[in-house]
Amino acid sequence: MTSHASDLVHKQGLQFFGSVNASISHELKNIFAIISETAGFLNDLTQLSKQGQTFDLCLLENCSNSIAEEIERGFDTIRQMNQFAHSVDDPVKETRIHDTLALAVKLTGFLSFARKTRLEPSGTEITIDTSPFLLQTLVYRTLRALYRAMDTSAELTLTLRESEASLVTLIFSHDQAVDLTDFPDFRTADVAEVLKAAFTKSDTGLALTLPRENKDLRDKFAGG
Amino acid sequence: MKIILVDDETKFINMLARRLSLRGLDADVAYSGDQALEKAAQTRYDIAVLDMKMPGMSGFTLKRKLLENLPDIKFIFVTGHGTIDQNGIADQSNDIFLAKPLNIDTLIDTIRQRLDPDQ
Repeated sequence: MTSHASDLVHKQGLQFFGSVNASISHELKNIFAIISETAGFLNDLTQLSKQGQTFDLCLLENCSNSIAEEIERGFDTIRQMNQFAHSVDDPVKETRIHDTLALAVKLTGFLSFARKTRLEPSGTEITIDTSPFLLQTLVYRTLRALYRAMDTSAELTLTLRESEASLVTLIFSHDQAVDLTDFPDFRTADVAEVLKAAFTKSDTGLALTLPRENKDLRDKFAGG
Repeated sequence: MKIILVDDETKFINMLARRLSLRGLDADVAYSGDQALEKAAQTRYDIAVLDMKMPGMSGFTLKRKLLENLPDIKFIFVTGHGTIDQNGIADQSNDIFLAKPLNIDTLIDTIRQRLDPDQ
């Protein structure tokens, strides 16, 4: 692992950024579509009023509430986009893993095949020294693969555990049997290798174990 | 003319149905492919306006299933997909794709054109 880590950031990174941005832009278009239709409806009501027709004023209140809700949804989406964009600021840094998981759940939530997912609160703040961007990529790809394999009614629970002093484990538990024969695919396995992460599959879930410290990665990026 | 609008964005589809109704076009709404199939089992729709990407069943899968019972039904796809930013792009099946956000007049013109191409 010498130039492999930076190659991954550049090659897979572009693809990952593209994929996430596509789903975010899809979400924003849906938000704009609702605001656009609501504005159009307000215009319809104005035209009716000009023609002397009356209507329930509650309709106006509903429209303004709906626009305000969609604007808040849009801001929330842009906040996530901004947080994601900043994941490349530091090639390697002490990363709050719960924050990475929370963002990955939100970003994958924009996918049309996303499943209901609950992130268990972690009792203590757990950090690992790693590449925030590659970690985000790995968790995102794992969630995406699980969603694709899960039934539409299935639910996923994410739990974070400090398995040993030097290791952290992310547990993806599903409430129905899931076929993960082809997981991890070669791209995901590539990212996992650089992060020194290991997957363990079981009937009820998937465990992803990561080292608290990845000296090779830090040395590589510190050396440019 | 019987129209069904299918999209998991409930506010969008409800508002669209309301605006079509103000223009004299009655449209049923469904928030998923399964719900649309249930409604299509009860009502003979002339045209379906479908979101391409929906949880559970995509617009394209829904089209195939609707055609099993309603072979003459016409389709318009509505999408927020990034690669479709222009209205009226037809693929090999001659379906019409409209980009979100929609223009209500364009939608109505497209519905009429799909149902009566000689118009």
